[in-house]
Amino acid sequence: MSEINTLAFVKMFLHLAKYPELAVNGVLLSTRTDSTKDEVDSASYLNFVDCIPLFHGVLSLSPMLEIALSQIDAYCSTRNLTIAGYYHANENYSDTNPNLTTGKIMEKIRENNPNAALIMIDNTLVDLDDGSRFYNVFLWNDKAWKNINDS
Amino acid sequence: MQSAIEKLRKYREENYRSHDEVIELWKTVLSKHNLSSLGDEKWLVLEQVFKCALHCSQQPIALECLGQLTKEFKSTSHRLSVLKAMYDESIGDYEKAEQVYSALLKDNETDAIIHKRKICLLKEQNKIRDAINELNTYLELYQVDQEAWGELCELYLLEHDYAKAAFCAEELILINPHNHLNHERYASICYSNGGYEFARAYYFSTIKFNPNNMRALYGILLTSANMKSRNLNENSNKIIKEQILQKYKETMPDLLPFVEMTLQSFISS
Repeated sequence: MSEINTLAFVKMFLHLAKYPELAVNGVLLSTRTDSTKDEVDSASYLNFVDCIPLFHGVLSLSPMLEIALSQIDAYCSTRNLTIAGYYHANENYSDTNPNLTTGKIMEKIRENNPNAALIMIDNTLVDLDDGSRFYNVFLWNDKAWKNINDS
Repeated sequence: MQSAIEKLRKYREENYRSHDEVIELWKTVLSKHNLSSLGDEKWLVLEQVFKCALHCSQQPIALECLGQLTKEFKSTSHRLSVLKAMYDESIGDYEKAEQVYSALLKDNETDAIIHKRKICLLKEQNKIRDAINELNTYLELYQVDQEAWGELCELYLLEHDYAKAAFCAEELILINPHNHLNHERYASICYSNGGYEFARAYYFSTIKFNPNNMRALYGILLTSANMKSRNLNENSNKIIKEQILQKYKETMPDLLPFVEMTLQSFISS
């Protein structure tokens, strides 16, 4: 079960719309749970409340990513939020697969939140007239990223 | 109608990228008039609208322009063949486009634009490795093509091949040594590859050319945090940190607390 609120959904959509010809990525935030368990069953509940776009164009350079994640961490700590998701839209229209870049970034994000989800945008589903889900959610399962809809 | 034509002329000559606007002008003004009064400019306008239509995925408009051009220039025109192949690319008919480009290249091996279209064709089909190989072949002939080196750099970065991407970034610096963006790109690639000393040097040369380049300012502090000789850098780090905070104060004071927290963690880590 997962939820995404209007703010996060719209911000993500607008980021994609602003750079239609480029790859884009960003993070999704959710409220921090009080769970002390390391690996909570993340399929039970993901609730995204905000979205912070990161980059457009070249996504695989690390210095700015480090700065950005640091600043977002600082922001989250003041508002009881946590980085719970990362969205990534490939430059190629029909490519919806996770790749090297997503792998590396998710590794970094999972250091702070092992339940973080990977959201691969499906460019073919991004449509102004259709308000339904335009991405696929991947969870870390058995040392690989698996689409939760592939069962 | 006259003002629309003048706008289009300006966009052609000054290489503007206002594709949406051109399509709007076509829809509202130009398609409703007979363009014969423009003489030879009519063909330039049609070609321009055709390319903008492909950019905006307006295939019907593109077909209309292509139709008018074909009536005039028949199918033996080289330029028209390229446009036809571009249309095929846009509808996904990659094989047909590839055949056209290969045939045109046989006629004239030095046509840079056709070479680049072939590379775009490969990139569109997500054949990144093949695109890299073709682009390398192209660059052996055209060694000063900035756009091509930039594209090759991006393709290598897609594959996370930092060493080769660094080589491309170096070529770009050689071609245009005063562009601060080239230095910053090179520095970021070196950093991503673990070359912190090099990165720091090039971040400094970036701010030499543009003292307002935020990425370079951040980069200096980041590289320092990762280098062992960081004690020697304390003074310059302090100055850079002050500059960063000053810029945020001037433009986005709301973000100051988070920036301060971040910089603190880097300087003390």
